[in-house]
Order: sequence, then structure tokens, then C-alpha cells
Amino acid sequence: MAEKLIQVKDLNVTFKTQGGDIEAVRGVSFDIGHSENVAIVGESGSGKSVTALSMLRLHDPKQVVYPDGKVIFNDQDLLSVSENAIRSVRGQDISMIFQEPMSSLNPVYPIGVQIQETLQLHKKLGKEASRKIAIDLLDRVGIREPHQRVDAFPHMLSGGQRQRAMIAMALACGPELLIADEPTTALDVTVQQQILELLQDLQKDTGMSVLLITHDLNLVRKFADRVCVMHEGRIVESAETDTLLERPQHDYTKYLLDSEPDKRIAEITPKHEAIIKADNVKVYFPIRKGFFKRKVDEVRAVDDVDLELRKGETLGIVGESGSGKTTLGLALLRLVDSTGKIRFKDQEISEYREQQMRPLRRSFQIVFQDPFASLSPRMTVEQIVGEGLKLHFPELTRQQRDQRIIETLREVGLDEGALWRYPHEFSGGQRQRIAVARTVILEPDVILLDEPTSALDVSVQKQVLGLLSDLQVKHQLSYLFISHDLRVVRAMSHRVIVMREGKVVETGDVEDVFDNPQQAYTRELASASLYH
Amino acid sequence: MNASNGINGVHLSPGQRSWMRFKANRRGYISLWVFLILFVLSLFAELLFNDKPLIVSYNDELYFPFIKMYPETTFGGDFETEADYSDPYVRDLITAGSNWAIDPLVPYSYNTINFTSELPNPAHPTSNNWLGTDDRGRDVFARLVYGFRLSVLFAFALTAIGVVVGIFAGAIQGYFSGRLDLIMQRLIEVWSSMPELYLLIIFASIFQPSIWLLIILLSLFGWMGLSDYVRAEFLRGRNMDYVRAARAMGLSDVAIMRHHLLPNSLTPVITFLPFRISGSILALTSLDFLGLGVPPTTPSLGELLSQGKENIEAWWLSLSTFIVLVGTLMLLIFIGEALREAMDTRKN
Repeated sequence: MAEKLIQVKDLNVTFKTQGGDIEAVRGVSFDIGHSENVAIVGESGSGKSVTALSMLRLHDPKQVVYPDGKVIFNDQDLLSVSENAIRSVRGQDISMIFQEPMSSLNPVYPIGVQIQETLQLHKKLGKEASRKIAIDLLDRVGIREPHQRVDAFPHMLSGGQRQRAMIAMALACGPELLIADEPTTALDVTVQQQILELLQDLQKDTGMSVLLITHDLNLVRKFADRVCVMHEGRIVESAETDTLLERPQHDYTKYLLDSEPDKRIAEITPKHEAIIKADNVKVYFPIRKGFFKRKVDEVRAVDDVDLELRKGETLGIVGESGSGKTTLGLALLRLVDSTGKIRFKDQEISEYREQQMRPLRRSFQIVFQDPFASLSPRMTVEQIVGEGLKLHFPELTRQQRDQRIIETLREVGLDEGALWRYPHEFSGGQRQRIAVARTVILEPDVILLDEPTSALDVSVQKQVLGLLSDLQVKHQLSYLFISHDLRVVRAMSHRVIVMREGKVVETGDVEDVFDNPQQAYTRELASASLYH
Repeated sequence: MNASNGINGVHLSPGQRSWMRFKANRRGYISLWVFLILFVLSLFAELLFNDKPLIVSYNDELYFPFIKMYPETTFGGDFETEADYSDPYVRDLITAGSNWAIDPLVPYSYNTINFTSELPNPAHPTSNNWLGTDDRGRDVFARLVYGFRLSVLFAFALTAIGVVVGIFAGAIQGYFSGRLDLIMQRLIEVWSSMPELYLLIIFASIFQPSIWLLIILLSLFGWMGLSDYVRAEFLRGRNMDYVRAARAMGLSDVAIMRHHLLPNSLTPVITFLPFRISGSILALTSLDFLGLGVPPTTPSLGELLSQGKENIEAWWLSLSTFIVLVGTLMLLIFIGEALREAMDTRKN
């Protein structure tokens, strides 16, 4: 038995593209021992996933070259063995789970069949025997009623269950190494924790090794024995987890650890006027069935919510996916129909029709989660940012308008060279700045921030949050801050409401709610999110 | 291309950048120039291909026969009818003594019959009729030029109407969706199952066939193919975040449709544009070929083709028409290809 399970030596990966070669991974070396958990941490584009995929040679051979380097597993170099040899390693000795469980499971087969497939292929088991093992595996990964669930199709399972099914598939042949590529990123916080615990338990039971690929240093804290930090295709630092987190050596690691958002919000006193006050807000979506579209049931997306937002205040809205937090935000801005009372300053806007709302629209703005979808790809930055100005400040001349656009772009940290460019020419963080500029230029009262940073890398996240805080103080903006990330909410908000299944579970000052939660659900959420 | 990114300090407006991308496609760029030159020349076909002189100086007075009708008596002739300038008698009158006349490049219009030719019609190419004559003794070259102009104008008109109506219908369906969409979709299904060709035949027998009738009839059906694509694009686009952001900004439905959804829904329109234009030319040609199109005196490519079919030995009829037709369609498709690239803002 070799001392190490797998050794990666001086791995280089180059992508061939039309615009020239791209060196995605440059001279990466690390090893994983038996029954060891190693994590590779890095931001998007750091080459961490490319490294993982290279270990099983899962790249398209037409696009990728391995100029040199070795991946030694069981005394053979996986980069140079035959296609047949590596196929017998994949799934059997080394298996892999991916970020998005919906797209990595085949939607037309039941999960049981997909688990059985690897068993039949590698272990040459029959149908009955493999089905029994599949049920056992589903039981082991914590899926309830495995006898029924084995015949379920992927769309019938929740995100967490799908990821469990993926893990069951990966474990089917008792691999020696499990590569988990961002296994929890697409999941809700409470589910994230369960999946990580499951992985840890399985690791202890089976004695396999796990290579965890993630962008989140905090996930690593409890899970990994050793951590490698990757940046621009290189491992910049690698050490025992505790050592690395306590005494980071490299600047980049320090930078990553420091990218936790700071709390810098202005004090709010009760004498600040209320901008939005909502009572009994309800949004029900009817479920219609049959030829005549009879209403058979309804989805209570937002169920009886009261809230108040003061000038210059940030109200955090926290909840897992499907809890109705975005719908609530849109209802408050009268972008979805709702019942109940909504007051804006001294106007009762809940009965306003679209035409009456239009002049008020300037006061309510939105920043969306995905900066790639929220900017029209065929408009230049000048058009995107200037559009609202044309509408709400028609008295401005062209020069004045351009002046305002440039000032606002500077305010959000972009220069005027951006004016004539299209959104696709910017990075995610820059796009989010453009989206912020589009809203701020209208001098709004309220901005709905719908997960504004969750599509961004941690370090960029911090910059955008800092920008939002600065703008709030400068312009006395009120924010409705929707997020599933409790750390971000804690840093940004004055008060918070916790939502579950359309209802408010708990509300209060952000410190009180998170440090001393009254409800079981809030406790669960807080411990899952601040679990590091 | 640094300049198009504005990286080296030059900031190009979106329109200029589109033009840069268009020029980057050499084939399309050259095709555009060739087509434009041919098309502009054909617009002035009356100055180049005409059986009337452009300017006549008769007894120290200037006459412009190519735009104005003068009776033969003006030039000292016998008849009150319009002067026939190809008649040697009239020709003598207007060129005698100090009188002079400036003739166009080719002394035949699309309906001039060459009575002086000694060859049987259709006559093969000669130094007088460069591409020969058709079965009624009319100059093929002149008919091709006029026919080309008519086909292109017809195609532009038909395409423009089809695109405008198609985008409008598709946009309304896609943006408002729901019940309106459902009803319009059913209407379109009924409408599209009407037999277009039969209608054309019926209408051709009721009304005097004319180019306007053809444009109206073909437009009634031509918009439907496009509206489906635009509808799908609008349906997809209306739920995008940038549309929500625009609504949150307080833009009206019309403004959202125009500035946000339309530019992002133009991909199928631009993609199909060259094919629609060439399809329209082909539609006119084939209707003329079948005799359901424009009246026989109108110069048309389809009519020439059908003459070519009837006089198969007169190769100059079918071959020259074929070359004009294929050349036009190819130029248009190359231009369309470059246009598609020019409209793609993501391409540099």
C-alpha cells in the first residue's frame, strides 16, 4: 500500500480556444492520504474545478492539453493510462458529485436505476441484487422510505434529496476517493449543513478520502483536515486547516478570510419617518385544474405579513428558497398583486392601479440577484443607466443627463469609459455596480435588494456590500435586503424578519434575532448559517 | 479589434460599432456595394434604358421627352400622337441642322419593340440588342433591368410590411400573453390554413392583376411565420430580470416592448430577413411564371423565365434571367449574413 492515496504532481492544464491558449492550472501539486479530507478553496476562475475534473480526465480531449504533470493513483499515472483503464477507475475507485444535483441526474430515469447502473457496470451485479443495494444506499444517505423513493424520478425530489441521491450513486461502488465539487452551493443553508454532516459520517464509516472543492472558506473549517487555497491556477498556500485559518501566511488567503462583510450601518432612531408600512399583506397564487380552469387550491406565497421600513433603514428578509421573501418584496413594490394595506409615506398605494403607480415608480427600485440577467444585453451602459432619467426627469438636457450618468457611474466605482460598452464586457461585480447605478440615479427612497451579492465571489461581495452601505448613508436610502446568507444580512441590516412558507416566523433587531432566537426555526437557520 | 471595444481611448457609438462589425465581413460588405450600385442604377433606368431621347434641342428650344410627352407635331411632324423617336422620319427632324438630341445608353425601354430587326423573334444577341429580344421583339437587357428593379422594390415592400405586421402581432401576443395570446393564436391557425394559391388565382380572375394587389394578398399571409418567432422571444423575455427592472422603473408597456424586449427579440427577424427578401423575389417570379402575377406588359423576371421555357432554344432568355435572379439572391443573402453579425452586440 502506497503511503498516499493519490498524488497530483506539477499539474498543468491548458485550454485551447480560438483566442489562444488559456492556462487554467499552472503547476499544481498536492496529495491526499488514506481517509483524509482535503479541501481546495478558491474563487471562480481559480482553476479548482478544472483540477478536480483533470484528476479523472473528464475534460474534452479536443479542448484540453496536459503539457506535463502526473496524477498517481495505485501506481499508475491517470493522465497517461488508456481510456479503458481510466474508465474502470471512474465511478469505482474515484467518484464525483457535482454542484447542481438537478442537472447531474438524468431526468428520464428513476434514481434507483441510475444508482444501479454503476453497480451493474463495475460490479457486474444482476438487477435484483443491485436494486437491493440501491435501496440500502438510499437508506444510508438518509432518504426516508427508500423502498418507494428508489422508483422516484429526480424532479419528484427536493434539492437536498437529489444531492443525497447523487451521493448514493457516488458511493455505490465503495470508492476510495470521493471528489465533491461545490456539493452544497445550490442548496439552502439548513440543507447544506445536513449534506456536510452526511458526508462526514459516511467518510468515517467507509474510511474513504474526500476532496472537497468549494469557494467558501467557512465550509472547510469543520470538514477538512487540510486546505489548499488556489488563486489564478496556482496553489498559493496549503496547510492543516486550523493552522491555515489561524495563521494564514499568504496575502491572498488573508484577503479571503478578511472578506467577511464589515458592519458599518448608520444608527436608526424611531424618529426617522416610516417610508413603507404594510399590514396583512397576502399573495395567493391559485392552482387551477381541469378544462374550465377551476380553482382547486392556492399557494400561499406570502401569508399575512406586517412590516415597517424607516428612512435610511435596512430591513433584512431572511428565509430559505420558496419561503416567499422575493414575492413579499415584489408585492411591497406593487409588482405582483396582493391584498392588504401598503402605505408609502402618506399615500395608500395598495389600491393604486399601474397608471397611478407610474409616477411613484422612481421611488422604488430593485437590484436583482443575477447581474447577467438583469441588464438588457443589447443596451449600452449609457442607455441602461440613462433610461430612467429620461422618463422621470424629462426636463434635463442631453448634456445634463450625460453629466448625471457619469457622476453616478463614478459614485458606484466605474469610470466614464463604461458609457458606450455593453453589459457582457463587464465582470459580475461590475455589472452589479451598473445595476446599482441604474437605481441610484433616480434618487429613490426604497431599494429592494434581492440577493444582490449571492452570485458574486466573496471578495467582490464585500466590495459591493460596502458600496451599498456607503450609498445608504449618503442618500438616506431605505433597503429591503433579501438574502439567504445570514452573515450578509447581519452585516447589512438594522432589523430582520425571518420567513418560512410565506409566514413571518420571527422579527426584531438583527442582533437580538440571531444571538437570541426565540423560535426553533430561527435557531436552526442561525446555527446552520453560522455553523463555522 | 481594439477600436470597437473603445479600449484605446476611442469611444464609438453603438451604431458605429455595428458598422465596424458589418465591414468586418468582407463578403457582405462587397455584396452591399455591388447591390447598392446595381439597385441605384436600376432606379434611374429611365435615363439609361429608354426609347426616348433625354434632351432634344429643336429650333433652339429644349425638350425633355423622357419625362414629358410631346406630339410629333412639336417637331414638325404630321401626327398629333406622341412622337416615335425610333422612327427614322422623326429622328431626321430632331437631328437636322442645328437640332440635336442626347440619347440614353440603350435606346430601348422595357416595352419597346424593335421593328427594325431582320431576325425572327426571339432574336439572339446582336450589337443592337445586347442580350437579344424576347418573343415580342422587346429588348431583353432593358426588360431585365426594369424587372430587377421591380422585383427588388416589390421584395422590400413585401418584407417591410410582413416584418412590421409580424413583429407587431408577435409582440402583442408575447407581451400580454394569457387570453389575448390564446385567441390570436387560434385566429392565426385558422388564417394560416387558408389556401393562399387558390386565393391568388381567384383574385387574379376577379380583379385586374397588378403589383399592388399582389403586395396586399401576399402581405395578408406573409407575416404569420415571423410572428410566431417574435411571440416566443417576447414570452421568454417578459420574465427576464431586466424587464422587471424596467417595470420597476415605471416604464410604460410600449416603452418596455420597444426598448427592452424588441432589441432582444430581433434575432429571428434579422436571421430570416435575407431569406424573406429573396423569398419575396422568388414569390413574384414564380407567380409571374405561372401567369398569376403582374400584367404581361410589366417587365418581370418570371415572365422572361416563362418565355425562356416556351422558347427553349432561345438560351439568352433563360440564361440571362437565371443569372440576374441567382446573382440578386446571392447578394442579398451575403448582405443579410453580414447584417446578422453586425447586430450581434456580443461579437467583436
